[in-house]
Amino acid sequence: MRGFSILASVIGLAIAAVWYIPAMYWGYQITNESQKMVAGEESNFANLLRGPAPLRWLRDRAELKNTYSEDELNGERTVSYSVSLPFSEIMKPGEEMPDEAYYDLYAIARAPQFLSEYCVEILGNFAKSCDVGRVRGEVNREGVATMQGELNYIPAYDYGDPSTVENGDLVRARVTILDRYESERPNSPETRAEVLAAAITLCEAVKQTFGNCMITDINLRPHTNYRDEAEMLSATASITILADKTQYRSDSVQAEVNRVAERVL
Amino acid sequence: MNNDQKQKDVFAERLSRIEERNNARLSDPPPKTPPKPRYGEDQPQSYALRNFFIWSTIIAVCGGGLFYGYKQIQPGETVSLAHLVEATKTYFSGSTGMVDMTTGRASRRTDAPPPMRELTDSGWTLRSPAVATPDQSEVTVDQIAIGFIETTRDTIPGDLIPFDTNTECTFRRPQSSEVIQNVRIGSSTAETSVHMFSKEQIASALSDHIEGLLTQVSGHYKVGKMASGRMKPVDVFVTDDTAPVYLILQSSSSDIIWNVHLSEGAEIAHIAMIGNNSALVSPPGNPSFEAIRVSDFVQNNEFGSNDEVRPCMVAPWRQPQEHWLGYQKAQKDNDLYENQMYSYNTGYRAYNAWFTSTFGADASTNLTTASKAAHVIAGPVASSPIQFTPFTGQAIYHTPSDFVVVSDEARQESHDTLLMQAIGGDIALLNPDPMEVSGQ
Repeated sequence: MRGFSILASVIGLAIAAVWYIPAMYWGYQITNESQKMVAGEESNFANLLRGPAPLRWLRDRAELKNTYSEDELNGERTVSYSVSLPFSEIMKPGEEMPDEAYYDLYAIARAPQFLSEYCVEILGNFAKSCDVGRVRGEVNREGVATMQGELNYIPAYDYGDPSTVENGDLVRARVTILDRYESERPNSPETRAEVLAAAITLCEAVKQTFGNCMITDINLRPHTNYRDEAEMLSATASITILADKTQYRSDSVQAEVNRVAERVL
Repeated sequence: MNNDQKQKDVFAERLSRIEERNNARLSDPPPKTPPKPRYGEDQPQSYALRNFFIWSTIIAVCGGGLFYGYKQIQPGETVSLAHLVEATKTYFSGSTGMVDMTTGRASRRTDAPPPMRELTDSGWTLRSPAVATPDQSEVTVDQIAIGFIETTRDTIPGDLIPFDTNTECTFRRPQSSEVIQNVRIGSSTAETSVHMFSKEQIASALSDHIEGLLTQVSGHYKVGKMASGRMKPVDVFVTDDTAPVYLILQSSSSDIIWNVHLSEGAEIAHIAMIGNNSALVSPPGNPSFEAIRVSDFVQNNEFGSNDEVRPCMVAPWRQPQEHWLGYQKAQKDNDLYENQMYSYNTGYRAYNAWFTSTFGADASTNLTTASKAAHVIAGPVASSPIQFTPFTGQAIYHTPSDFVVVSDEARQESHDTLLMQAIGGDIALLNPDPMEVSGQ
């Protein structure tokens, strides 16, 4: 325990060195600069505010990079989808059925094969590159294998120019495109294409206000309509905006996105 | 006197009183203390009181830290700046590991070998060649055995022969002509090359591996995950020659391969094993043996489920001893350890009830116990050395398991084979190439 105490102390001092002291210095600088600005003197206040505030800088760096990367497929931009099939249908013809203990493993191991087919659907106006990311698979008691996954993509649509945003902060907003209880749309390639198109339309409109809009997730959720056993689709879109934090708060961004969604969807 | 005259007199009286008071004030000596400066007046101020509070706070915080830090020091230990400097230096260099601030001893985060005997919250952890003894005396394996060869990850046993575990939580009862010898440990500090794991464990590990592989995060911690199930060896030196020994071998948290060695004149009548996966190196004298798999009868100890005295409470809890660090911390009103010791005590009470009804003797009978040990003595320290039977090439009897493999390579192969089957035969299908719009 005493060894641990020393380690904790060293880590504490390290945190103080890398965060607390720079944070205090940053606070000291920005206070001075703000006083100069108020006094009408030449001030570096705006640059200091725009620059990397301690810790925020650490938190946002990877997220920013991944969200706006033009050449890297990553988990920050996804289309989530799931496929449900009888377990026997994920097996190849003539293939021996595995032990029941391996059903979930087979489902997750074969999920990329089934989900990658849907990459074809999002390539075009929505994405210029697509790859299967995180996957899950499970088989229920009725023997239905559900394979869920995220298709990571590089956008083909114009998401605006986030580099012009001052005091930028990543803000997320979520919009329902097809409501589970109100929409009566079948789970078909056409419906899925419409959802993607709606998300692009939404982002185009949001861009008019904020200058940029990235679709960070489209969640396509198939479900069964219990009246006629038909497979229906519900969908939500999560968008990310690099917004000026001195002008917008996350709730005001969500409210604005809701207003835009009501108008354009 | 009319009213006007009366008012004039009162007014005159007031004037004379005010005049009298003003004259008196002028003639007063100056006040001894200067008047308080009003806010904003540029007058020298005294910060003595403020400084007093600041320094009191600093001294109180530092003093409190020193006081509680001092309380943590064990009797006989010393603290010096040199220890602290050395601890920091060695931690950052990583070459010789962390040095305990108070003792200068190397702790576990070290490249140097860990101590042979280490007192922990749950008693002694004894690393080879230290031997656990009934009276906690310090004995090493070379003092009691000849021909000792340490079992390692590279030691290859002979045939692996499964035997069925008891489907009911009963054991053959010790006979009156037999003497019970009782070994109960938490785990072992040594390792073997043998792995035993279930279909569920390998499926779960491979699912994690696939999940990690597809996250597109390089070096994801789930990539390469495998079911472990590495069996741990414990040498049991049976030295009691007063009667045929009924040997009860218990492990609470690891899968153990017990390797029994007999001293001259000792004889084993029967071996009862309690643990999860248990295995036995072909025992000398071919005694009968049987095993109970704890997980067949007892769930994990969640919400105190092991506390209840009931017919089949076979989880082998160990009774807290005064020398345990956890026991000592509980005595100092540490809530965490009070709760931990409470669980040990209640678990032991329930286990002891089952043990006593099953074996006809208290669970502390002829007991050798340790938190972890690679070698134990069941009986007194023998006067003549015991011939050690190495693990290498010996037949191993083990409780059944879906997978029983020897060597890390065999374990890897079992995972690779199942993964290929689960994918459908083509490894490329697991992580298809990204798709791009034509012409990109």
